[in-house]
Amino acid sequence: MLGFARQLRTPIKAAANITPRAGDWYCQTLDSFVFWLFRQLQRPETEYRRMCMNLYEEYAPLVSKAPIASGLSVQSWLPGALHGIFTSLPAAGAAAGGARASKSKGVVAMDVDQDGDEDGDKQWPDHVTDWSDALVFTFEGADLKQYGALAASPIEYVCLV
Amino acid sequence: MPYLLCRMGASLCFSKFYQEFREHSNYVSIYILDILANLLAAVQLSHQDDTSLGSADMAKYVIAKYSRTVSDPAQGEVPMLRHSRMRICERPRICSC
Repeated sequence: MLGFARQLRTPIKAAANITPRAGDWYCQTLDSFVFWLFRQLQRPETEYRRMCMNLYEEYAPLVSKAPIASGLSVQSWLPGALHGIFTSLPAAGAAAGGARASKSKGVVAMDVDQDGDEDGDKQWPDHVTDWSDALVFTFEGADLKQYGALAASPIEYVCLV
Repeated sequence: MPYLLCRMGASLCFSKFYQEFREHSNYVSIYILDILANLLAAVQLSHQDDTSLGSADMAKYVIAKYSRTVSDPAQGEVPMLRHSRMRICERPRICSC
């Protein structure tokens, strides 16, 4: 009986020292939060995506202006985010019908046709256009010299046509 | 997945103690990102709820309140931009990370 109680005591002690959740934000900085918000812009839930977009527009200038003490700055996470998102664009374009995303020699062209229904084409899904808006905002709002790391990424130029 | 009433109750609680929370910059720097992430999760989960229940509206209202604590110039330096280990040192002994 006592041995059984001793076995129970160990997990109880372990549970007392456990962190609240895996992937919590206690140990993160604002730039990683902005990166996370940027990735959430692909989500299909409209209200959620718009809230993420609002927060991203609010916090991205803070991150781009301030000196970042942690290693994760915009110029470090943006290439990876671009690569991950553009690899998912062909599937989204195929689902949208006429929308296209082509990539050749490091140049990605997104055909964002807002009035595409008139000539038979379909539009990009809302989450793709919202994400492209965030991308334009990112490039407009910050000094482009900060994005020198983009040259080393698979995507060198982004054309929103 | 939290139930609808749990999410609405949590949003209401966070809305009520916002005025007290924002006065303690130490707690703001430690907990604000976690609070925002969880409130955003509440908005995401309320996507399938009936709009008339107002769960998404309540969560968005609280997010709008709490988001000001990060970008408000009156708060001075944005503490969440500091290195995470510096913020962990300030944190009460709850988390072992």
